[in-house]
Amino acid sequence: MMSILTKQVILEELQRGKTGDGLIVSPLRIDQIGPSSVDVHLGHEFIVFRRALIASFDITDDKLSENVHLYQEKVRISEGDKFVLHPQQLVLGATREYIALPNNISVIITGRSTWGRTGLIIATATKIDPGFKGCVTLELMNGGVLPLVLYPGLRVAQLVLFRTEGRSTYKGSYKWPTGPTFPNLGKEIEYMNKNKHC
Amino acid sequence: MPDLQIERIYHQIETELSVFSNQLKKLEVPNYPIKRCQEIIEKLIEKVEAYKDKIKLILDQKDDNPDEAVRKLITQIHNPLVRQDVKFLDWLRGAQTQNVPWSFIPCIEHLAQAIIPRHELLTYCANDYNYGITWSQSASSAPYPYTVLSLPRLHRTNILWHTIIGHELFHPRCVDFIKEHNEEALTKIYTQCEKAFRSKENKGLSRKLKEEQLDRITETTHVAWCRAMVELLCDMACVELFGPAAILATRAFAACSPIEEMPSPENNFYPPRLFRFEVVWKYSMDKKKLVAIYTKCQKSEAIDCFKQEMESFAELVSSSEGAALLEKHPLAKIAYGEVNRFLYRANVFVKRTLPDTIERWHSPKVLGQIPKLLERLQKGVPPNELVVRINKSAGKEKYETQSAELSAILIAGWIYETYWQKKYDQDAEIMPYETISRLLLKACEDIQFNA
Repeated sequence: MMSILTKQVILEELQRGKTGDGLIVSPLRIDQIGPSSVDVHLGHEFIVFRRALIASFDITDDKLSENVHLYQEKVRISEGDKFVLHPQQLVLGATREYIALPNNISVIITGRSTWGRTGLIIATATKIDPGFKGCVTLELMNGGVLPLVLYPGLRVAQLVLFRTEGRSTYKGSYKWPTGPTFPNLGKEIEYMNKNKHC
Repeated sequence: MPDLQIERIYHQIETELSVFSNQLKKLEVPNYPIKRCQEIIEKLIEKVEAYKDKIKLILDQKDDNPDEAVRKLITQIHNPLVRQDVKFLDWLRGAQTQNVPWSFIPCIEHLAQAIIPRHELLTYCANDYNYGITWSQSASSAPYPYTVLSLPRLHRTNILWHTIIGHELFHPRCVDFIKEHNEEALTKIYTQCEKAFRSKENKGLSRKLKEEQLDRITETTHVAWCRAMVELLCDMACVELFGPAAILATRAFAACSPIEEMPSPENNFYPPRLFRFEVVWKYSMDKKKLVAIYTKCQKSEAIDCFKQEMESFAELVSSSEGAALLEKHPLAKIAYGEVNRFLYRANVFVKRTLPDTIERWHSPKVLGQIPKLLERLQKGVPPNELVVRINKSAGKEKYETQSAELSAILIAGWIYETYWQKKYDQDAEIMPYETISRLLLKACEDIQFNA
């Protein structure tokens, strides 16, 4: 049965990460570790969508995958500067913390309720597989009615860690990201085409 | 006639100012990793306004002396605008966040504040395949009062190469050394040149011509001495700061150029790379501390690769071919004879001039950090910090970290790079070079955050 890791166990896993293949969350301070979660901060980079340059988002469009830079743009906000997220706007952000999960720990990332109450939805693809290494991409969406001002360094989300039954190695397409990552549409198209021919 | 000319020049300058203004406004977007860029834009906008006031003043007085008005319009407005101010457009564009290694900019700023505290830095990426630094003491020439540091655009995120900024940032400090020793060197160079010149047959030349020729030869030799001293001082500073990372970065950067190229007017009298390698290896590299890195790090393939790389460098410089090469050319022999005489003093000057506030590569702290940072990098984790202490006891929980030093990050990065170069073709699972760079950049970003 999967169980949520508590503060003491998280520290034990971090201790293992110091010398071997345990958990790494970095940079990290003790006050980020809660009774059964780790708070994470918003990083400096965002990916915003340029709506004017794309008719629709259709993954069967051959050019979509290779032209990703045409309709998505990376923006970097300096410390202390603001990023305004307008109602119904979706942008990609990332955690400031870089995490490395051992092959028997999985993570679910959730928004902190303080931000949820303002209408900010932090992440939709919330599960992170064992063995993942990188900054976690956050799908930031303003579901409220007022524009929200975001700053790098805000405590926006938390990691809930689970021990898995058995061990697993990460085989995803997002390897060692240090900021938000453009979606890997090529893999989706490949998967769809493969299944079409079956 | 002057009236028509004034009109033409006035209209031209008006257009130039208007285009310059518009370009500046386009650059005003808050898209820079440091606030200074916006300040520069504001100052340039103020300057445009001052130019406009000056034009008005010149035109008001044009009837008294039209020729003088034309001269003033050209020398006081047009020339400084097109020769100096306009350069800022490229510099600012190249300094925008997306055009620079933004995670590394705070580290550059931090180093610059320590090494050249009175200089206000503007870092940008240029199309040139080179690192460079430009500054001026004179208010009438750009980039006064700023110091402009350029990085090669195609290697924007190649942080391992950016170790070379340790060399660039020392350039303005060399002025003091040259000032102190210039006269002594020049006198010796003149005497040597005279001796060499007299020994040659110069029949048929008048005394005046002979003197002129001797002066020219002395001047060229002196320029070569000066250039060599400055470059060597900066190389020494880079090695003093970053040790083996400086050596590997310089060697990697010079990989596509001939390392035995002799100084000449065509290459601005740059000393041969090989000679530069020999000098820093002999004077600046603390070999005992290098061995300490090999022994402190856990035995691994990465350390073996790094050791091999450093040993191959030691072998390259062991025969002193670079110095021998310079002996073959009579003027280079004179210039570099003088260079050699000053090398010990240069090394002392560098060590004394670099501030103690920067943690140097051979300090116990940095040497202690390198093995742990390398381990992190090998795990695919940014080498940004060391976990010092973890206490799991309920109620006494502790998680203490120590921020990584820049020199330790760069050395760990270079150790891993030597491994990567060897393994790239054989290991399908190895991180791409870009990933190594990104992890190192992330580490640099985090150390500023921790600070």
